[in-house]
Amino acid sequence: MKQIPLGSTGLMVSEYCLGTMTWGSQNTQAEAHDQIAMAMEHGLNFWDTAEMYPTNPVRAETIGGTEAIIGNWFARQGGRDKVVLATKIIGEGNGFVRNGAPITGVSLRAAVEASLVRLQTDYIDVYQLHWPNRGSYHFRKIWDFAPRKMPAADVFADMTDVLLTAGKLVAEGKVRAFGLSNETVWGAANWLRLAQSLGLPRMAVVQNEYSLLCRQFDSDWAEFAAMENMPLLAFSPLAAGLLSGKYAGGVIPDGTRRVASPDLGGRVTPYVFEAVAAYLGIAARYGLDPNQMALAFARGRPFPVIPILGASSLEQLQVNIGASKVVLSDEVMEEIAIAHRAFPQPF
Amino acid sequence: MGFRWLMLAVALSACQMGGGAGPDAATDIAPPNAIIGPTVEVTRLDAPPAAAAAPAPSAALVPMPKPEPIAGRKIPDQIACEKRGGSFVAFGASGLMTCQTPTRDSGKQCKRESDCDGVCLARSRTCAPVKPLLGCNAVLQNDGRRVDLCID
Repeated sequence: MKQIPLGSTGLMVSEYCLGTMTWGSQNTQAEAHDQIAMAMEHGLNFWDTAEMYPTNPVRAETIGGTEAIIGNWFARQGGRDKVVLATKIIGEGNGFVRNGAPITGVSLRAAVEASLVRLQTDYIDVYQLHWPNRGSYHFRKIWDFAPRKMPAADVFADMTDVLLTAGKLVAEGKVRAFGLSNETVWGAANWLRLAQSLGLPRMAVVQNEYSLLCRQFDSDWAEFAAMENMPLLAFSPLAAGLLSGKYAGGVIPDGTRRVASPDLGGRVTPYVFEAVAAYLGIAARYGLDPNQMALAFARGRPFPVIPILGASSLEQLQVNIGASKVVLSDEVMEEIAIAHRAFPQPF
Repeated sequence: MGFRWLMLAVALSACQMGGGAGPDAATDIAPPNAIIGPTVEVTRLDAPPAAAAAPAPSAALVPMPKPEPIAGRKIPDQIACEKRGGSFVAFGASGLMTCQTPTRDSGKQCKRESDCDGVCLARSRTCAPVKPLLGCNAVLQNDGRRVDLCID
């Protein structure tokens, strides 16, 4: 798999990122370690996790479970130097960790130290803020998004507090680079402005949702990512499995995410299966695997982007890794553009 | 100049790591001991200016942790540090600054400190990304023993 620079971090990473959020819920540790072995065989050396994982569902008793599975791999197999590892602090509103406290300098340090112990390592390559303290429009909140009424100065004070600790964590070698997630353009612009003016770490990546079915990133965020060299780590590039076609017709196969999350986090709507059918049709007409088509589409966007591919079986992972060898033709791209206009925002 | 250079051997606290000292801890962890860490070159930002030449207060001279905008207001030590590819960073609550530079072998596998340009990190057995490495970190000494090194 091709290795590319990760924005301005100085890190080289695989052009796709390995998602891990099923490890410890849908997948056992043994299955997760099999996935890691397959990923390493294919040069998929950029992994993303979070203190919150595993998910679907998130449970108090499993917080940190995915990081522990990764840490057990490092303890057993070594090779930490072969991996670029990203993880996240959970942030405000999730009562399972730190009583749902917002991200502060103090909580940032505590979360980093706890992740390092679970991961059995000394450093995290990319440490992301899972959600902004002030909330955002992601996860279907865009349909009724109302910016929180609060003085901007309060937000800047929060950001400065976090950045000061971020600077210390970099100086201590515990974190190599920082990133955002579920963030907005306004938020990211101010993170960069404050970092620049204070001489503190620059947020280097943003992890937001992006797929054929969720293209909110295509306008202001696309410009921002390109101009600021802030790569998008695109989560759910298969729209939680919808684009694979396995849920076509509204079915809920055993062992899939829909068993625990029937509406797939608000992605199952009255319109979504028609859109899915359109993309499955394009893949079929051009002899493409629908997963590989969706992943290659995300990877090929005109802004810096690394899709995060996940799987709950080795067979799925093998297929998804194969996307790195797929280039979409002009004809496919034209049909995708037509489908996008027909179904611009199915969820 | 409104500041002065100090050369300090920063007092290092080396103690047995709680996280690694439990009943399941690896057996190569060293007992608590005092080690002498690397010399850290520091600049005290809150020292009184020299009597003969007291420049106007500079934003860059405000003690940490409340850095002010530094663009165009860098002190010569910071400029020299950045010229060497380093970062001028604060450490601890002392208000002291030091020049931290990237190591030549960040992420390389190591078994002891002498394998690295900086220190050898104990959990991952990789060379540290910068030197001096601030804060508290578990490191492998030259004899291969694991200790906690704190520079703060």
